[in-house]
Amino acid sequence: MTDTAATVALPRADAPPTPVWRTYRFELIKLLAQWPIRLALVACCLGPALFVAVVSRQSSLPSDTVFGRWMGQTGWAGSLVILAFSCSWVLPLLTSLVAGDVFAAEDRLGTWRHLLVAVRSPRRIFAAKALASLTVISLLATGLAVSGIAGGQAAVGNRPLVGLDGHLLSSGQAAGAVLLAWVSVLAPTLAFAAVGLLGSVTLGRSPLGLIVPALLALVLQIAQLLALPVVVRVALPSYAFIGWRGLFTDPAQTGPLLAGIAVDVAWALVAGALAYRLFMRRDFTDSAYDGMGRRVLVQAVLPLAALLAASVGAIAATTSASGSGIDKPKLDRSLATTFAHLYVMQTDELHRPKVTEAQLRSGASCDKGGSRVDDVGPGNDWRCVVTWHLPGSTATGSAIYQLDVTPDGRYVADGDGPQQVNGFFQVRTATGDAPNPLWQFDASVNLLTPIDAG
Amino acid sequence: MHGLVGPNGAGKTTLLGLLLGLARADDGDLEILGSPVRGTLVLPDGVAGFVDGPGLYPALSARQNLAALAHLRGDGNDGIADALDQVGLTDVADDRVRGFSLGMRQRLGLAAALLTRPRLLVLDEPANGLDPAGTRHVHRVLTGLAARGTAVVLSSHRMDDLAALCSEVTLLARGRVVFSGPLGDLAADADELDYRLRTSDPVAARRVAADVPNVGVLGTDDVLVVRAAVPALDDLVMRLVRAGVGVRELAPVVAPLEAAFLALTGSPE
Repeated sequence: MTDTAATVALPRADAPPTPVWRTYRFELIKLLAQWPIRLALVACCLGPALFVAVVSRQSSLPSDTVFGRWMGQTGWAGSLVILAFSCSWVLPLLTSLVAGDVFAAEDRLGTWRHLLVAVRSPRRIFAAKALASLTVISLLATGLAVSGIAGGQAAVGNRPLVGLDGHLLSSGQAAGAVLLAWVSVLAPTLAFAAVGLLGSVTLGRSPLGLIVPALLALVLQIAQLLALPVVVRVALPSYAFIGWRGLFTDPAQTGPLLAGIAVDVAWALVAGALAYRLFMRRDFTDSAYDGMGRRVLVQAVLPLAALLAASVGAIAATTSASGSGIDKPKLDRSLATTFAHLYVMQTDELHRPKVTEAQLRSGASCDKGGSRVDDVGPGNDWRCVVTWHLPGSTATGSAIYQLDVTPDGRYVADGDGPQQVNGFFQVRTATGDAPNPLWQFDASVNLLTPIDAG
Repeated sequence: MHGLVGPNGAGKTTLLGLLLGLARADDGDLEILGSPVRGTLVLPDGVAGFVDGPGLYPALSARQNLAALAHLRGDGNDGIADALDQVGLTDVADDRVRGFSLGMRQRLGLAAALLTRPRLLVLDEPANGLDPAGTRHVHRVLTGLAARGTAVVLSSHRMDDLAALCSEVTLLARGRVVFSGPLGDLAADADELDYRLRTSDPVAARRVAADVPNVGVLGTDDVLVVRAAVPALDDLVMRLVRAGVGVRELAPVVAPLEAAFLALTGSPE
């Protein structure tokens, strides 16, 4: 007995926990070993390139998606179509797949207690899992971005891009704006990932935890379709998923995007902190644990609802936005500007004498639904008359547009004549027929500028 | 090697979980290898094992599971091949655990425990799901470990496993220890047992047995079953020989360990 005691060292119950980087590496290995994530990685790296390459060469382009109508003209448009689609579904689904399952997987496998015993620190496990999730999500998002850009550049080439106010971004400017747009959507992705972590922590092995970010995305998309006040719209964590469009106007509409990013950072912090708090309070010795049940409402949903209310209050207090953020003066100014830019482009295509936007002195007058309807808010019943002047001529040109204005501030202008200006989808150039830039185009108004500033 | 045995709900898994830091004690003190255990989810150095399954990741291969655990502990990959070899999983080392049978998972869990070169190995039903060859393999590993000085605590429902492996057992019933000590003492604790008796003359044997004090006679004419403690049984055998009845077989109907288990835990026979 004495011999044994002499040779057996006393246990070190206070041995230091496993370093975060080691646990992080372990979590990365586990995530990347899962076939759904491997499949997603392959799809994100190849899918966008193939889609852009194929669609860009077709005569029928996805013109209902922002920048879709320009896919045949520049390689940068394809990446933006991928970005728009990713923001609707792909990124929320990827956050569901990765962050929504990173904690729940241990519940399903019954490995929590073994992991905790090996690492000796719940705090470090949380940090490692959160970091590993974000790393994989970033990797997937990077794959989407790089693939979309590569597909567009390979299929169409590095050409200038028409912005959402009709101005032409040089290839370099387009590259910068596209990259910035992809970077900007990392903020809402981060917010959705934090919500995914929260769902994964609170709902245990229930499959509900896995779909929380996707469910949130669906609810927020429906909300974005409704005629909500602009302060509520911008306070939703999904707003930055559409706010990046403001980077493609001159000057850039950075206000809504920055507000959306600030909201997303707040959501990421609050949802992450809630997930951490609930994770640290969990009793891991209870092998029958199966989520928090109804306590989720009080401990997770209510704080996020309070955050939403606080965000609405903060945006209302710091901006002068009101109502839907869409009114006649904004549309008049936006349409006149966009028309002028695109008219200059059409003039170049037709090899007519050069003209500048300043020389055109374009103007627009929009009306919503006739005299009995207030000229505010979204709708497809906006009708506008655009006027312009050509240098050396006393005549005033005019053209009619029907506008379909969506609640997020984007609108599609559909030319209604005259035919030689905006009434036909092609123009005849010296080298053959070319798409008529004035026939249909996308543009957007800044929702956060004051309505009376028109 | 120390066996832990008891009926379902006796507290075996809870006790093993406490030893591994995986369960929270309501009350009392616990010492492992001479040091008090202060909290849950803290495994003292030198202790390894598993309860409620070995805690493996199905998307990783056997080797990756072990490498990941070794890396978490800051160890290298040196012992992985040896651990896999010890439990007989070398051939499937690079296969994903998703495709492993229960027995293979048990063996991989044992390999994970072996990686730490434990001084105390705690195993919950290590032979669960193993075929006879796998069981023998695991028994050899455990016996080898014990021979090299590792203390092994294992639970099992199979008394034959415990009898083959353990020098001591602890018997639990309803959360209490009802016996703890050498296996021989447990068997001796059993009072009266039922024995199957085959003789050259069953009728005479029945008549002789009925006359022996403290011997009960059960069973049919062909196979005589007698209930007796060991001294009364000795008396019966001597009387049968004196009466010219040949004793062809005398064996307990229920193994002594099992009988002791049933008697001490109050389980229905």
